[in-house]
Amino acid sequence: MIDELLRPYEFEFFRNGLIVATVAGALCGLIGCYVVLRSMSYIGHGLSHSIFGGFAAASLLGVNVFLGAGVWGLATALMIGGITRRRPVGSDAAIGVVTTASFALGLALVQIFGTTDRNAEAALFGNVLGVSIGDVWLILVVTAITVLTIVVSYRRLLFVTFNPEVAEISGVRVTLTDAVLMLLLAAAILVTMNVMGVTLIAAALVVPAVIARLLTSRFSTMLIIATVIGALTGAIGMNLSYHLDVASGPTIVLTGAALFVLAFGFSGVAGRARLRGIEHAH
Amino acid sequence: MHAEGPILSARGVTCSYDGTPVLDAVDLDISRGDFIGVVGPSGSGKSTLLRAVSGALEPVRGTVERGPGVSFGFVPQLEKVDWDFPVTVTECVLMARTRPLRRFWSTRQERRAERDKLLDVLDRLGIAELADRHIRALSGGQQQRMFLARALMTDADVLLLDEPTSGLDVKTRHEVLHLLDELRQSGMAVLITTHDLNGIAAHLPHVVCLNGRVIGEGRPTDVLTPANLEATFGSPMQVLQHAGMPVIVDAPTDSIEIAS
Repeated sequence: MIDELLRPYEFEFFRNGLIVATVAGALCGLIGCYVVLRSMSYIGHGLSHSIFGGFAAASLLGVNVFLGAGVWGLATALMIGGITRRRPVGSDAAIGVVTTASFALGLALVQIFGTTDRNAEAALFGNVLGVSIGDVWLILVVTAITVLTIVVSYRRLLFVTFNPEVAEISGVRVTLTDAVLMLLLAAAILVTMNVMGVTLIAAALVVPAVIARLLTSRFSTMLIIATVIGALTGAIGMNLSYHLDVASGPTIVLTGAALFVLAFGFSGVAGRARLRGIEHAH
Repeated sequence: MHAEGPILSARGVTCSYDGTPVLDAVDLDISRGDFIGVVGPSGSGKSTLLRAVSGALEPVRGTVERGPGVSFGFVPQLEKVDWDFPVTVTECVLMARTRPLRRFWSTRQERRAERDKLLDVLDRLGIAELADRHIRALSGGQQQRMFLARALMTDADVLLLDEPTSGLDVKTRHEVLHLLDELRQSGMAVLITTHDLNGIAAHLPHVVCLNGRVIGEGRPTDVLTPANLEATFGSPMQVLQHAGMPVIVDAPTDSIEIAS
């Protein structure tokens, strides 16, 4: 039994995948707190889908897929902002149009030209077979930059998330802070795409934050709990993925969902009251 | 008492949103120790004026001159705050202190000094024992004090409050006004918006009637006149005198018949 559980650890691809999944879960859990509290869940969902379009186009053109998908993701984010500002289309409608079109374009490109490798499917549903040591380093660097940014601008980010208008009047550069957060979100989606799959990243962003909100009303504690829960779901989900022979994205998300049910049960009435706050904010 | 002249001078400030004019050629001086109430109906540009003086909104015409290093603390309308947001009172009070202390590389002395200052401010505002509570656990008056504490922690020179007493009961309203008066006496400048003429405006030392442009400015007894009030609110009002203070009532128009 124990032997069977430890067997995957013999393989390098699994060890790499486990590191990436754990760090990816932690990273998404951390960024996800801001995403959930700013009611940006739909942006996270849309951005991850649109990035798939850039991913497909880049792999077709033989460009570095991270670069291609990253540029594409930023362009979509700007487009969403532009459409929303011109109105009368609401931001959710703008996100819906731009990102699903981009996602559809990616799917069409893959169907017409086929895929050069298994990357497209990995990007859609998450697959760690292709995780290289380079990918491990990439996600570690992005996570380090994210943690550093959040530690250094902790109060500024909190202020802008809680009271954007007040922060602006108090002299905080809100537009810049928002842009930094969007950038961190895009980078997180980019480097976790291979493990989670673009179709499921939104869950990795939202679920740990919601669990953390169930358990605490203190912001700093929420960040820590969400990061730990994210790491846990990544690690457990990765092991399940091997043993059940299912793509890593679904097993990670299902692990998160199971932890949510547990937390929901244990946190009792107080936790559910806290959660109503999140629903209310949407 | 504070003779050094204005720390903020707005001249001919004109603001518009998407081409729709909101403020038209507004002049305003703010000095230390001022307690100014801006009165006007909704849509009269009160909140826009707060944004313009603080620099959050660039006027399309006119200038706002601020003294060197003048900083602003803003207290939002309680109704506009997301009270379910996961922050404790301490977290909320400290979040605006983004510049003096960068937590990552601050020294132990700096952290201790900040801690002392925090306890001092919370104590002064009477919410020290609530420091670790979630913000929803506070009463309306305590929530107002928490935002004042946040502004005090940044050593703001000018305190801007948007409808600070709306939603508060009479007793709490008085407490908040007295607290603001104490802060003013300690050398801050206080600028509030309100549509409450009798409860607030009549008690303040200085009132500005605003309806896109400044209709009148000065002491309540001089400014809150029937002519100014009608120009500001677009509806006739009568001003009575009671114990040396103006009391504003709706002017009797054709009586409204309510069938019984």
